Amino acid sequence: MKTALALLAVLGALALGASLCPYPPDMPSGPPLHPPGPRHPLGTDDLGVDILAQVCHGARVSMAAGLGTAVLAGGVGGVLGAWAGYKGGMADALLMRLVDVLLVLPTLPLLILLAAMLGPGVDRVILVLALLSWPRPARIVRAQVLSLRERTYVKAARLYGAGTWYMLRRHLLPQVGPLLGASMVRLAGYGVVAEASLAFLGLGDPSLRSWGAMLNQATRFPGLYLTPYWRWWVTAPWLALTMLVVALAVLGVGLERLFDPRLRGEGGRGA
Amino acid sequence: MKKGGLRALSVVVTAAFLLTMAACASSRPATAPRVLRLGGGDWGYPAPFAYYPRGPGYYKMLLVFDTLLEKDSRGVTPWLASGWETSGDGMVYTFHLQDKARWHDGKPVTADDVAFTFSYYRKHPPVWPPDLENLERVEVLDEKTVRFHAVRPQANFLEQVGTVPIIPRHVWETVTEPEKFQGPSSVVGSGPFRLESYNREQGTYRFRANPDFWGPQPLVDLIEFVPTGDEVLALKNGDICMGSVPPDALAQFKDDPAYRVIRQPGFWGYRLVFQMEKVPLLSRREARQALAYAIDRAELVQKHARGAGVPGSPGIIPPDHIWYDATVPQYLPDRAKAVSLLGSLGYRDGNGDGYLEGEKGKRLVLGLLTDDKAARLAEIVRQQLRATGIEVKIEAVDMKTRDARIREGQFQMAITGHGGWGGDADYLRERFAPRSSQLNVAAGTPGYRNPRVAELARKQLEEMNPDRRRQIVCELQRLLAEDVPELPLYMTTGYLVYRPALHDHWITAYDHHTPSHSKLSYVAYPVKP
Amino acid sequence: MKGRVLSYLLTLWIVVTVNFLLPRLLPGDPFLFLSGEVGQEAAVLTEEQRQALLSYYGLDRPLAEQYCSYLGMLARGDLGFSIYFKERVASLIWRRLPWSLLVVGGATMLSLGAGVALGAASVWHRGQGLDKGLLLGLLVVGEIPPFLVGMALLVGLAGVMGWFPLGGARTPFATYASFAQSLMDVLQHAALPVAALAVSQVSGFYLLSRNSLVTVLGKDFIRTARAKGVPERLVRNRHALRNALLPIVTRTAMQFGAAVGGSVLVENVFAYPGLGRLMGEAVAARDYPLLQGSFLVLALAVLGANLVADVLYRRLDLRVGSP
Repeated sequence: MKTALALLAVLGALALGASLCPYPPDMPSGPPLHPPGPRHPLGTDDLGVDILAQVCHGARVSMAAGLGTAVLAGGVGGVLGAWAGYKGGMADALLMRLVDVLLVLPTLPLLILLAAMLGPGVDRVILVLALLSWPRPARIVRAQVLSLRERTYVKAARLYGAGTWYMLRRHLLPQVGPLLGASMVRLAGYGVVAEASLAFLGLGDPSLRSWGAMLNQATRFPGLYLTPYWRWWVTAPWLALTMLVVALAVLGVGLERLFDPRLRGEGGRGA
Repeated sequence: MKKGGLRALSVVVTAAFLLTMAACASSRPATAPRVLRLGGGDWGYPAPFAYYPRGPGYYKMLLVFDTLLEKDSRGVTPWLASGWETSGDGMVYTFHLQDKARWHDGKPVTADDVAFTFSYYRKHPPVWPPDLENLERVEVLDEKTVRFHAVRPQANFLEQVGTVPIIPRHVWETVTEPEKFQGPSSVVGSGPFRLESYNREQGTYRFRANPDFWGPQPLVDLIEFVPTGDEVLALKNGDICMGSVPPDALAQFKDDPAYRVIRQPGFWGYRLVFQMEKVPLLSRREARQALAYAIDRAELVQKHARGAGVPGSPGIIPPDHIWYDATVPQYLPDRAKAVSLLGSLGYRDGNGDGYLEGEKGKRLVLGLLTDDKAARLAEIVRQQLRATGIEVKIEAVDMKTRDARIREGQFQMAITGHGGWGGDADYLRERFAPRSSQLNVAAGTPGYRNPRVAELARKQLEEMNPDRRRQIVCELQRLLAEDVPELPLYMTTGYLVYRPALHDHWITAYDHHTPSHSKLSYVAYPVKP
Repeated sequence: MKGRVLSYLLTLWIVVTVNFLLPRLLPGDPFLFLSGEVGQEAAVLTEEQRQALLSYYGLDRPLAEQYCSYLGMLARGDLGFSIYFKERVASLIWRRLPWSLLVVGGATMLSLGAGVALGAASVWHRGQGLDKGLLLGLLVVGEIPPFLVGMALLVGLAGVMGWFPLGGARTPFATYASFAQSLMDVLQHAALPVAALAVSQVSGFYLLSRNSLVTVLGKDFIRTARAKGVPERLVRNRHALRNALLPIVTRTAMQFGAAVGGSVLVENVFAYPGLGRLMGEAVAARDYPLLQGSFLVLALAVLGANLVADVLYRRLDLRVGSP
């Protein structure tokens, strides 16, 4: 866990320090395909743009994507799941049908459609990812609320006439909070990978300089693996992406173990 | 040793030697079939209604089916038609068919088949449909003579009619749903090769030489198209005999005598289109000229194509085209000129931030629509325009979405890429002065109107004399270069590497970029320099 | 039970409708060719020709009418005719499905086996170096997108070392002396795609089996077994592992359905003729009948797998007891 947090801190620093980079991330500042050296510590890409600058700015994009997805999907999914779990009946059935349908929809054409309809931008990407991933926290929260519903204090509060939103706000959501939080960390990881995959497929916003976009451009380079260029052009964003996702995953696994009552017991220690 | 014994010994030895020779001669294996292997991929069943609309499926179909004319490296040449006569006014064309032409099932190819083909295609257009709008009727004069009547004189009518694949009447006259008809009789053609096997999942084709072919004899017994993950690796392994090699990987083949390198002509290219109706700035010629000066097309070739390309010509017709006019203004990169042109329209960098602003102080921003594959190219264009002070917002969508938006005019500037730049110069008319009744889907430049261009475009289509027509087309190029209704960015050239030991008879049609697409490469047709 | 079936049918109907609408909402249509891939040509159609084609395939009729005729065809079991591939959709899917199943199934089995074994090893040595090392290592490896793994394998093992073929599912035009030889050829071509997918799935199974084992080990019946003096080896293998496997199996069922569509990128890297790649091409070509058909098959696979998982989950709940 500690290493995970340390990694996250490093990447966060990169993201914040992006504006301190001497070279711009979207204009050429050196010879193309230059190997790492004193002026360009991570080398340059095929247009002569500094790779370190791109990695730093890419950190911003990836973190925004992760955070945005986590908050949006977690928030919407959590509330919907809690509401459905609490209300039961029609509302619950409707939600589960919706979840089933969403899980079954083909992602690729959905992505293309949304990309065509919504236009470019980080917010579009986050919206798309949130739309595709809210079922996951919804399900988890719903399951927990279903068991919470039977607790005595909840039943008592209902008898006293507490409204749905009051119940959700006061009692249920705070209880669900920790588990949802752990789930949100996993969502952040999913958001980062999904954004990178979108960008890798070329459907993201090309002016965003995300890590996935860097990989996209690098792997489209004809005959890349017969040249030495991949050693810095592919490795840098790949490493950064891996580090971020791994850190998030480790964090998420640790949190899940901490908060999920089912996983407690002899395995309650953090990683 | 006794003399008699020595003689006997020498007789025995000689006899043994002769016997061995005879044995070797008789047991010499029959010559292995000459097989040509090329990079494949699934492009559809090679029948006239079944190949895929994208890709080289059409050319595989042409190995099996014939057209009246063929194209070699110089121009149009007789093929299924051994000769033809044109009437003076360009309205009547009479073709004589090859005497020995036969279908693969043995029946002779007749003028009746030709007439049937055209009437059938009118009812059931094939995958790449011919433009038959100017064809009034087809007349059968006798078994081997067929006459075409045009509605009006049209300079490229001969080519339009001559490149239509001919199908046999006795097979197709009962077929009502041609795209579902894919049995063995659907590949009965008259061409130099027969389809032996096709596997859709693997993307493999095998064509066997037609022993009864009427024309120049096939040079190989089998042509096989096999799927390759990476063409360079497959070429090195000897899996294929010709492959496309990216410029960075060329070094290992250049100095090796076992390989030869061909540079392909640039007939596939990217262009920048302008939405002149919705963006008032782009409707001004000075603005478009400024963009032409601001975009360094040679740099695009260097950075995007790694040198495997040639800058597009502002006169639209590309440099490798037979009717290219090199005297058109080239708009060599000149930032100062671009800025001054935009300045004449009221755009200046008032606040020194490096960007141009208009009268109200609003920054000049243009949207650039591209597809996901050309996003890199769009990025380089954006960087170049940024250096001139123009801000560009790129939007990358998938290919069909971009096409749909271009067709509906929902863009400001857009980058699109396609082939066919080597074809008949009439595409200038289709792009910049289309007839209202017939809008080619690739055509139309929204908001562009130049009466002189429209007049010349119409004139070149009606001019039957090739030399005069060429002059008109050259003048058209100069006019278009001044107007810049679109900016051809660059044409991809690319390199093909092949092993001459396996096959050395490659012919590229004068208007095409790939020799392996031409059936002339596989038959004993004389190579013209 | 009746309610369950009804709800699944409802979901199915919604899925069918969405799969009908979704392709038609995508911009562009099957006959719009303004551009092409680099070096490729595409059909050049006039506006009239395009309209004629749209009309021939019934694509210019009102949406409601098209929907009704689509439902009618489905009822007859007819998935339609692919506009781009010029073949019946059912036979296109039918021929590609086995290859996808081979790759996805093989990868799932491989990653399941490896994941469970490694998870068990981790639990038996919990807290020690092996556990921590495996956890970190597998997490790292699991997060690498499968297409990157695939590319590395392609270049390294196929390109440089030459141990595996460069692509495809079989050697083209090969004639086999025996079934065994044919099988070897297929396996050799499938090895790298399977490996690429398996590598990315291993960590999921590893984590799940690790957690599940830990949960089971805390149960009373394990304590009883140990108190009874049952040898540790038997406790582990017969009691703990067996009971821990159930949630893993249900998870496998759920993952299997979705993995087919997700193997698009891997199939692309290896030019493998699977269903994922077919769907990718269908989307690019806006081939409505093929899109509808393949989405439906995929949805059925996922729904079916969910149903199986649901049923298994019930049985699991009764056996292991509520958490």
